[in-house]
Amino acid sequence: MTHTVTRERTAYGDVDGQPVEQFVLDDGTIRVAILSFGAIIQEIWVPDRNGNEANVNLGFATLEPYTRKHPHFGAVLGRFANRLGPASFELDGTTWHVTENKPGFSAHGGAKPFDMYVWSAEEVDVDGQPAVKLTHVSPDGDEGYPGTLTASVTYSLTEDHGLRLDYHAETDKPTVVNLTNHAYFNLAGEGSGTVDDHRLQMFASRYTPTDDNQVTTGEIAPVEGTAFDFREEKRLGEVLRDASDPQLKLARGLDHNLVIDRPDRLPRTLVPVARLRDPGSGRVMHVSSTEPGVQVYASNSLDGSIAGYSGRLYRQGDAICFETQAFPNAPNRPSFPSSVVRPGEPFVSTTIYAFSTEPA
Amino acid sequence: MKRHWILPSSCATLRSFIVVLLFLSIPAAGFAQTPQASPVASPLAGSGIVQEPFGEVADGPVEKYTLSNDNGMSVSILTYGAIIQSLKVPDRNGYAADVVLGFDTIQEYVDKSPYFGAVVGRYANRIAKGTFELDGETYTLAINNDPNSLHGGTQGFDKHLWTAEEIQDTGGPSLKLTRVSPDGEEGYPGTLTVSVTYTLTASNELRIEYEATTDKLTVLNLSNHSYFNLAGEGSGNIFDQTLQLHASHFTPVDDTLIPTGEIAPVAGTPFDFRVAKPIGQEIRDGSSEQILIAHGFDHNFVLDRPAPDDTSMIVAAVATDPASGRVLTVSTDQPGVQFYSGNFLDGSFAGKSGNVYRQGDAFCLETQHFPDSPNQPDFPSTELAPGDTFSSTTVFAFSTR
Repeated sequence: MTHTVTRERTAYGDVDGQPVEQFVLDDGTIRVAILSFGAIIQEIWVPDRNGNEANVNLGFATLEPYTRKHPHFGAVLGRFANRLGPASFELDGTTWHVTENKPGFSAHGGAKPFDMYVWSAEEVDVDGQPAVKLTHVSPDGDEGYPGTLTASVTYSLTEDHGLRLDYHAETDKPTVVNLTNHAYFNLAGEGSGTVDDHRLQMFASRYTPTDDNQVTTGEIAPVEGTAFDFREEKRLGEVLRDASDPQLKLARGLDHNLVIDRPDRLPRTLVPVARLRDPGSGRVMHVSSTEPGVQVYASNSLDGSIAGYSGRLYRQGDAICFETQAFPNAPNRPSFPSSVVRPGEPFVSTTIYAFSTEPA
Repeated sequence: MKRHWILPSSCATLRSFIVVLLFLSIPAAGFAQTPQASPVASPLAGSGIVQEPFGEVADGPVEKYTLSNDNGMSVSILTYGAIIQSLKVPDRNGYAADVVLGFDTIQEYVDKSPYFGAVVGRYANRIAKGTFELDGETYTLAINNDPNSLHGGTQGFDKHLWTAEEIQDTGGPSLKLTRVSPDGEEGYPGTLTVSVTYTLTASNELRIEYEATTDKLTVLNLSNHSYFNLAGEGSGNIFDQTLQLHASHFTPVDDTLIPTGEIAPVAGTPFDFRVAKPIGQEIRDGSSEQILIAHGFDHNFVLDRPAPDDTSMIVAAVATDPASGRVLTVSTDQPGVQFYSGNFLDGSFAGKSGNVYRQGDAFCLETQHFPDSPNQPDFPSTELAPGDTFSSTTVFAFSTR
């Protein structure tokens, strides 16, 4: 059977007078809604083992709540995702000061990260199937970062029912880049409860510990003997309550960058990152990426104050994020893989969230 | 260590019992063990009280009294805050778990406890803007829960040492804790002499009897702020545990959690627990303004009584854990019960089990007068006059299903 994707394009209101569009990609098994505002993944509908669909992605059913401060549901973050501390870095002998939007560091690109802009949308084909490419141009000096950065993310559906994200960014001056998507997953369906019962396996033997501000220290530590050892599958509920690990306690749960294993030793090939499954529904998600790291975040800061897509409140631990990325704070940590991008050498990156089911 | 036994028992027996318990409570390999796997030790024969030191606070040493009965149930009480530090209850197969959240050290209670197991007073729950009028006088309290006063103020009853006295003539091991709250303490009028008596009965009831007298007209609301998880503290969230509340009405709150004065029917709202349902069933109902305000349940339920002034003992709540079979039945003579779903637990600290407490890992059933009653003329009065004695009883009864 050939894999056929359909694409729908709909006007979806406006932000500050700029029209926003919603794109729906559907391959008959999974259906994904993307917004041109923030390049946000708004919905991911996936069947369970009995064929019942659920939206496994936290978010909102309308545009408006995305335009206010929210925990970056489904959003693309940039220029530099995660924490850069201090809020400055040195590149080719020049020190660049970027927006310190949190005390002591810069988070997710600064005061107005990429998810607060309307991106320009373009219908494209990927592997002969309809897809959508969203582009945002960040001017030279935006939030203190050097260079005009033209960043794009192309959303497509793969044959194995994966949502594929292809990032591309080019600059006219040397700069640093870290692009990710902050989607919150709950394989039982958004708003249905916690992910305590989900089982997680990670293809990561090392992680990057942080200081008290959750800024990476530069150390690359083995996961062995820590709460971050997911090389064999674990139930999340137990790990999230494991107070024996000071790093875990510091973050009130999982909120750490794991170093993705690269058995082939090649720097940017597509390799397995994580396997998440929900025994209740039978839904399984495989994450793969070309990125060196992945921020695993167990939605520790959700607190029951936000009503989401289905109108249900999101509470602590109701979702988990897999933010594929450069290591946090890479520009200030020489021991980490470089996040520098130069003119003529574009940043290219791919991440796939693929969905399947397992029998009871 | 002082030991007092109501039924005859030797120190040697006790010592071996403690050794057995210690051995059985060592977690198996791995981490984050659920505290399920500690079978009730059979050497437990006879009920009694064991007293041991539990560290020190600025005001002096703290003692822990452990009351045990013949059925494998035990409760530990601290002289600091009259805190229920531990409550071990068997499940349907006889395996005991500690079903209340808490700490192993006194310093943790001092530093970070969200009223775990404590007696809260003088005024449990909130008083709007920290002020009330009584007999023409305006009284000003500490605003410790902006913009309101919560649980008696900056240093409520939960942060004081109480004087302990073992009582031997009741239906089981019994401990009476007393303190005298001086006139003007935390802004409240009158010297208040207050006692809390904990009794563990042979039928697995923990009885809590409050008494108080004053030398000036004052207001008073006493409750116990135990956080329950019937599957065992630290074992996970309580969303699958069921709750039934004997309440057709509740008191909705404004966005600072102060009652609006309305007595609203629960019918047709997520607050309808008249038929038992899982606590998690509607806790995420974002269409409920009341749930949104409190980030879950944190509301006073008006207990159904034959008459408004009825103060007979009635069943206020029944909570069950279908997995372990543990059932908690709460009875009281009070008019209300605060049902709180642990919304402000946030994973920032660990408890006795060594496991972190996350949002929704426990529930509280705080029997009480209605919050902010001193400012709400339509709520049952919380005034206490000189010559009168406030007395109130709440029972936490445990069984299995």
